[in-house]
Amino acid sequence: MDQIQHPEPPEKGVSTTVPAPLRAIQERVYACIQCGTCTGSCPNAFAMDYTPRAMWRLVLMGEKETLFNSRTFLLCSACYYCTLRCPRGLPLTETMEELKQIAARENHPVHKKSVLFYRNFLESVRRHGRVREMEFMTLYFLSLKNPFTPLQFTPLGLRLMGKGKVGIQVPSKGQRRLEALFRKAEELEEQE
Amino acid sequence: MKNIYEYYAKWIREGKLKVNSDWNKDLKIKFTAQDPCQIVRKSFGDPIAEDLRFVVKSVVGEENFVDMEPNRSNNYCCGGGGGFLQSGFKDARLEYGRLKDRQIKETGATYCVAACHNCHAQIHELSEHYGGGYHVVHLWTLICLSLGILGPNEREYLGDDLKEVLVFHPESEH
Amino acid sequence: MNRKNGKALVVGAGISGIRAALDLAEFGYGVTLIDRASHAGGLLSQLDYQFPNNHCGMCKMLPLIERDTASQYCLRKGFFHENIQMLLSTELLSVDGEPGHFQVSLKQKQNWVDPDLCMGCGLCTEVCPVEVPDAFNAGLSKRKAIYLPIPHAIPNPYVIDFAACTLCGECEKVCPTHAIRLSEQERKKFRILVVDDELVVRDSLKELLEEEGFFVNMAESGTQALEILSGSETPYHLMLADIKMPGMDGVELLQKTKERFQDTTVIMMTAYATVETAVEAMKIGALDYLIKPFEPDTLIPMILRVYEDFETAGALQAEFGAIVLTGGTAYYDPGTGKNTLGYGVYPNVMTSIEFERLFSGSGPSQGRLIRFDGKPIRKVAWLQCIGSRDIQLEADFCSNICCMYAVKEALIAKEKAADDLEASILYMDMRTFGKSFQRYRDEAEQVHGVRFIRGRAHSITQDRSSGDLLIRYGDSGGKIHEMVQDAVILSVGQRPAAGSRVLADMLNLPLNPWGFFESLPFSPTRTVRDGVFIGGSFSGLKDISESVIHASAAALSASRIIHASGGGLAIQAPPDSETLDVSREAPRLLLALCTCDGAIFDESGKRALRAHFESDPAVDRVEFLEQVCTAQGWSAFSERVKKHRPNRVLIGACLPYVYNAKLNALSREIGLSRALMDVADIRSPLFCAADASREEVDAAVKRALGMGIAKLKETDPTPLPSTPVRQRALVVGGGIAGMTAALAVADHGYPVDLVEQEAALGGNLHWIRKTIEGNETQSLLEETVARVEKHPNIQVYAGHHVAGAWGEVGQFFTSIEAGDGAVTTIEHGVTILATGGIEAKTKSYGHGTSEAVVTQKELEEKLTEGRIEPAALQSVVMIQCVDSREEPRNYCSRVCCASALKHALFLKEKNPSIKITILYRDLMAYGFLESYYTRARAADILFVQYDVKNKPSVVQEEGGLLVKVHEPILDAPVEIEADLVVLATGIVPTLPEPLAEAFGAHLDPDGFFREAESKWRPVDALKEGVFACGIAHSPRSITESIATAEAAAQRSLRILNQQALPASKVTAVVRHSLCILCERCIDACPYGARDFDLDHTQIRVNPLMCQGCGSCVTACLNGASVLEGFEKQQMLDVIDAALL
Repeated sequence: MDQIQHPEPPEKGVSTTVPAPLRAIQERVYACIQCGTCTGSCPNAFAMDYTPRAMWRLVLMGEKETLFNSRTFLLCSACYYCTLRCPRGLPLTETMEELKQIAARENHPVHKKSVLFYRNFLESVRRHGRVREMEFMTLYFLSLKNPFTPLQFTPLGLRLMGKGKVGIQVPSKGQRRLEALFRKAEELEEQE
Repeated sequence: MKNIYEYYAKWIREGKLKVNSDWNKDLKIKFTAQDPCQIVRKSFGDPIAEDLRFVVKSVVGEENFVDMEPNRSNNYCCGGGGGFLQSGFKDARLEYGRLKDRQIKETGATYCVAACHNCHAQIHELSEHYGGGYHVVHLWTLICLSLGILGPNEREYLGDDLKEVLVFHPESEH
Repeated sequence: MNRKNGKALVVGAGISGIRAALDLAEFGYGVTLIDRASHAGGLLSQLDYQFPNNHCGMCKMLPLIERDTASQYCLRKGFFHENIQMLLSTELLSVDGEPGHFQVSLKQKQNWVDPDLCMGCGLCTEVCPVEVPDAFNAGLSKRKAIYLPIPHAIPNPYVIDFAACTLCGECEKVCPTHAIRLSEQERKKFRILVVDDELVVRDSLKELLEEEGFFVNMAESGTQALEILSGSETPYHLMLADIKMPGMDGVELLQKTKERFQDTTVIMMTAYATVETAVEAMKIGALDYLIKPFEPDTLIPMILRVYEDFETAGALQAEFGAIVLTGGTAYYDPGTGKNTLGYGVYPNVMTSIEFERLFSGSGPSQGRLIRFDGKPIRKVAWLQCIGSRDIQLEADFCSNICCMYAVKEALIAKEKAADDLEASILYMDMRTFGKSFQRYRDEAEQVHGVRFIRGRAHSITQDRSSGDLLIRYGDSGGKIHEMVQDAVILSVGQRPAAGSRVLADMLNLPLNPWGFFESLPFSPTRTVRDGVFIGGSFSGLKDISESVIHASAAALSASRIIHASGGGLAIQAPPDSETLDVSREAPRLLLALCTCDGAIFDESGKRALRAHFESDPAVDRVEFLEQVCTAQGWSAFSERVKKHRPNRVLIGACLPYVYNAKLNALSREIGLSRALMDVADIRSPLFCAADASREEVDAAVKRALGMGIAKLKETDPTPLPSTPVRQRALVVGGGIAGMTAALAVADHGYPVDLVEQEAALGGNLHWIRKTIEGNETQSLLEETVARVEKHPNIQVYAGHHVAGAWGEVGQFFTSIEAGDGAVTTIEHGVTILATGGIEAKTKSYGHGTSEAVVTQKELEEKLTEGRIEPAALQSVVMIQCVDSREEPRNYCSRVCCASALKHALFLKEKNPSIKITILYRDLMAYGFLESYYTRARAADILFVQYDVKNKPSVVQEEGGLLVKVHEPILDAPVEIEADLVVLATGIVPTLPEPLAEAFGAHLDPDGFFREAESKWRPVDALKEGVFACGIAHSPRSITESIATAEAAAQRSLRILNQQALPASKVTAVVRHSLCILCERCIDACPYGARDFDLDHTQIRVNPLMCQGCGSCVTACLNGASVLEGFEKQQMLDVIDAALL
């Protein structure tokens, strides 16, 4: 794979005001001594625009803009290597997860596709108690508002259909059963 | 919170799950096992990796289990976790899995036990993509096989060597 | 011989314990030095090479004056001092009483090998069938169950590893001196009662325990057990009781047993389900518990522990004035926990200690760098901070020494492999904070090509077929690198010494959060319990130099307590007889031969020997004696000596070192010079060649004795003159170090002159408010100044400076000049230089051109005076290593990183919204300072690392400063607006070279005091009687300065203590008639004992500084340099006798 180009480095190193959600993230990684164990460990660092260590650096420097324009945290596959090996015992994998959530909540355009993917995935789960691949795909493609996207997935779709992995399904017993759970989760999130 | 591996191991130790590995005594089919990140590193650590090995060894035979290097908590991620499998970065994901593929190939095993659905899917794809030719198998599949209750329909994705072993035909019982 | 009535206990016989014990012993106290190991020397007995010269050099710690009171050979092998009683395999049981009068009980473990009888012949190991990993070689090789704990010790009796021994009895059969008492009868005396309702359990236990040689009885119920216990005349030592039994259960049985038979130890046996009950049982007196079903491997060691205690019954009681704890540290075991580095899994991953053993000549491969599979090691990587700086492992500390030992090991590895070796060190911060460390590191990199890689390897993988190791790491910029290595060395960090917690509880001493012993503020050695002191690495790992300093400081503190409680009074010994002048007499030698109960000579042998030696006219008499090593044998011997009045005495016996102290005492008693007495080893020849014939053995004995006689015959008995001592000290410099040293000496009753050039005492303490730990420095200053000024033994010369000095140890004359020109001359026996240092001035980064660019000191002053208001600051940038750690000032000043952390934390506390950025090269938060580094990060202080080749810049702009720096992780330039820039410029010494030279001391390239030996004599000048402490020695914190001051005082006391310093028997002299003044000997002398006497135009030897090494003799071209006791004719005669 080609090495991904570095985006422009930040102009000013230290911003004086740090927004609240990022502040919480900073607090989780404050003890970082930038040893780079996370970067060395990360099986996916090669695909990231900023290595994990550089990303934590951005977090500590309060570089929100650059941070959320990066796709580093999205590429975290939650393998927990960095958490296992971090000499400072930092909850790095969980913090990556939180960055994903912040990005989703704040609707960063860079992450639109991923956010829509997750959102539609969960919408399908919410409706049926499990994911309905066909419905999920439909919702996802519709929300992308790009008529060409589905075409990219046609070969995969055909293969999956061949194996019986996707198909038209009749309503199941799980219909709307998870609704209460989702509502409760929403309530909790709002309270935060 | 408990994980199913712990129960499998417990039941086997208590004799409730009467698995045995005699079926593989002569076949000598080699198995290796993936340590899923979420279950081993993230949640339960080395003790569960030991349970997993105990279960696998109980069903395929001690001598037919080949561990990956490194293993347990230090094993590598398959590359499919954290939503990666679904997120669309396929090239990155397969590149990421190169290490896992190499590890499995080095064991020389015909089957990789992947007791995590994510790992299962990813390793399956790795085998195809890098031409490893090894198969991926769920832990429960093997347990059922060794108990003699694995039906032919569940063997679709297994290799030919396991197609005919201890096949369970519910219809023939009646 | 100087001996006071005070006594001290030193716990732990590692390097610090030895130093503290020697310090106290040299001052005249009686010292008991104990160690729970069966050998002295601690970790250093395993390490062959030391930074910075890759030699050992431990012998330089041996007493320099009154040398004859102690052994004078390799200190790593062991040592003897007349005032030191060494008790090995001994633990401290309890301490009661008050400082000055502690009642102490000690427990000495008995071994089955009698150390007095064991000759070290080694026949036992040949027959021992058991093999276990050898701890001395860090497990890299195997040893037998009967073994030598360290191969080079003197004396070196074999010991038996109880846990491994199978009691087969083979060794006992072959032991020629019957030193091994293995007989199972001993174990039979240990009575065990097994109580269980299940017959199977009872039977199997009985079988197992009887196999181990114990006496075993059984009971099937609690009631029956109690009957047996009360019915038995001899008590049961151990009861194994099942918890769940019908009728009386195990807990009830335990209670009843403990009520009536307190001495019976009880171990509970429990099923998994009742473990909690077993734990409860331990609270009411059970020793431990076993979970059924148990393996013999769990059971037997537990039983053996109880048995050992039984064997050891009977503690030693003694009174001591003070106690010094020098228990050392343990090391992190990387095989525990997550073990991402595969230690114990991959054979070529080793700890740094294992690697030290690997390249040691006495190691598993005789010092060759080869792996287990025989492959030569040609690529090695060191991984730093293994078990250190790791919060995940609850190790939020730096272990201080690993950076330097890694560099040292890398250099030795390169040397061993004749440079055909690639050495890489992967580090986070290279903490070269000690004296001369930075240059050593730079040289390793630039001259020797050691690769320093800033990176942390996360895991190691092994190539299945080759066994080579693969390391992946990310560099600063995030690029991933892979390297294949033959071996990977884990630089393991410190852990508290085993048993620290138990000892701390017993002594009521606090431990720090990581389990290390804690000292009081501003004292490295004092604890909350007066009279109990900690030295060396017990309070956290230290390198040798710091350990030695801290040990001496602890000795000083102990000495002070002992002195205050009357321990300074000399013991009334019978007055020494005047030394007889026998120089004009012909030799009349008494040859006393030990027959060792007939083991050495038979009657015909005796006759033959007598005839042989009596034919020598120098031999007056030949006497055969029984067991000279026993008290009886010795008194028989001394009676003969007193009766026949010989002028030479030679004893033929075994283990010559046993007789050193006894001969010294005899010499004093009868007035015959100790130089005219010696011991020849005539017993070793008997064992060295097992298959030798009687004739060969007799010949060997004859040779040994002949050599001894030849040497004594030619010895010049003229006693050397002693040097008078002016028992008064001069301390130059009145900062905290100088004041501390002055007080320490004065408290021992010797007058001190304290010279300070400023009008007020206190030095740098005037501008420091608080330490990073939050301790108030002003109260320290006030208290210390008050004590100094009030002290009757201290004369303060404030506003004076030293104008000139001359003289030597014992007699210095120093003239000091007041501001008005008035000159006073002081006579003193020792000199302590405590001239301190100041913060370096700088012009870098615009200092001096802007009010907003200040140094760390200026920041502290301005904060104190209120000229900088934290509330008014928005952004502060601190720049570390300004003009430091690069030529010409290529050293770390050690305190600046702590200052920066302290000030940053202070500013943040006062104004949490200040943005603080610290630009650093390697953050030197060594030791427990690391936790403040963590704290600073928690306080949102940003740390940016910079490279010395790409330094930051400060631009003055309208409205503030702009600091530009390259951020290595983002690999991008960063600009920081700042309204204050703080520079850490480091410390420069203020010890003028002429002042140092006046006293005969020298300076290092940076203007600090040059030590005689950086590791072993860290506060001494090469010239005896001159010491340095505080910043004059090297940059250091207040507490560390105090440690050096106390150490310097302790070193002075051993001189001030004497009215006259006697020369030792082996000392070099010059035959002036032969000397051509080439001065080669002056350069050759490693002790600086020789100089050119301009007044008499001749080479002069200072007999106190000469240590009798003989270097000058070999350097001298025409035999003008002579070593007393090793003269040419003497040596030739000895060689002749050896070749007989």
